[in-house]
Amino acid sequence: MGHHEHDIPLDPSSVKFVRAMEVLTIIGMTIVIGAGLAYFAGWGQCTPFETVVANWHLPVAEYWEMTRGAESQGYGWIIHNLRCAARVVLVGMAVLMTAPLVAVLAMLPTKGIYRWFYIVLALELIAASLMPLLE
Amino acid sequence: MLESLAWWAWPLIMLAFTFLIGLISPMSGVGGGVLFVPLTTAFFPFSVDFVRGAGLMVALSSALASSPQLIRSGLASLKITAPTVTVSMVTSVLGGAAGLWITKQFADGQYYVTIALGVILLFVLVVMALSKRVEYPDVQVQGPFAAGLGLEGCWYEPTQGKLVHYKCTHLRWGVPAFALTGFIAGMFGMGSGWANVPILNLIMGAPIKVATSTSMLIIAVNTPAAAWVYLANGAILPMIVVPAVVGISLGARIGAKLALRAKPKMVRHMVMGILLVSGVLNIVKGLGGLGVIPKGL
Repeated sequence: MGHHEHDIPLDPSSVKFVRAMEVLTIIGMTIVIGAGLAYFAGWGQCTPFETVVANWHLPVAEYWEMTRGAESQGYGWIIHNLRCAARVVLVGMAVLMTAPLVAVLAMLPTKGIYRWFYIVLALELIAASLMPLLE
Repeated sequence: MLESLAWWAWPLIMLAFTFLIGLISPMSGVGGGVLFVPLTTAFFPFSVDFVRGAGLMVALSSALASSPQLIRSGLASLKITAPTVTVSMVTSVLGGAAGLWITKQFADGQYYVTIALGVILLFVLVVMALSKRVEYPDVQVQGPFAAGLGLEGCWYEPTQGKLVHYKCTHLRWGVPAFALTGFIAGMFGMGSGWANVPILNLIMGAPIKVATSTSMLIIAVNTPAAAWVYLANGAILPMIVVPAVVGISLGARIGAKLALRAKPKMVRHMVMGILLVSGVLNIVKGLGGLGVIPKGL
């Protein structure tokens, strides 16, 4: 994927990082574009476009109060209604967001100071994804 | 007048708009978010919450698309990224939470955030105006931390027809600077390329091409930390973010090729002009929302 003549030789762990990032990006973008096309075609529509447009100037909490009757918090509201194309788009976004974590885990060195940097980095990425659930 | 547009016109405008930003971004060396957030806040009818959520996804998707090739070429450094992102990720999350908290707790919060964003952009403009980009900084002696972590590398430079080796230094100044910019980037949902490049180039001594490329990698790793907060709070709206992500991805691919031919000085002035207009417009919009000046001035 995307090799050029002036690429320099990479160490094996960097190659794993690059490959993992590329694969997750392709998967995420495929879901976003596929579900996005379905969304704009009106398939799996859960909130009418006119309702979205009429309320998208509101702060996020008010927007969801007006369109769904409740604030959105955590991830349950996304995965509980995957018949909605808009929610599938968000799943694609979530895949893109996990790309760096998967890439860091894929490349984890077995020794050296960088092993600890990447372990901390992975823990931070996991914590950041879980933090909204604790609010 | 624009408010009377049919709903389907907005995604099309967003697609064309982000495509143009995608063309400019690789030439200017800043991520797409720094252009997307202020211009969208100023010219589109969306809440600043949705704009920031989309801004983070714009920055993430353009960075994910370009980082793998930049690593392969030797221009983006994983060694520089690891220690800096470990710190800036924490501050980025705090910044993302602070941004949403302000608009949630205070009725006029989004106007204060908009004004603050305008001030930040004018500050970035001053930084860009004063920065003298050094193509190949001459780092004779590395600091102990940079040397211990082996912050050095090489890439093939086509204009010289040879491998160029480089060393970085001053990690003890670089890390706190990344912590501060991580907070600002998370708060405003605009990526941090505008600050990463000067820090890497002017403080840590990375060659300009290494600085811009490593900045993209830093954005790719750092951005998700703040973006989860926006996803969980419903601040990523598909009608805005789908055309934005597709537009920036298409534009950035073409922009990367145009960047090889464009004169950097001209592009830099173009970006500075955009920052000036966006900064002033955001301040005016925020002050109008607060009633300090007439709305729509």
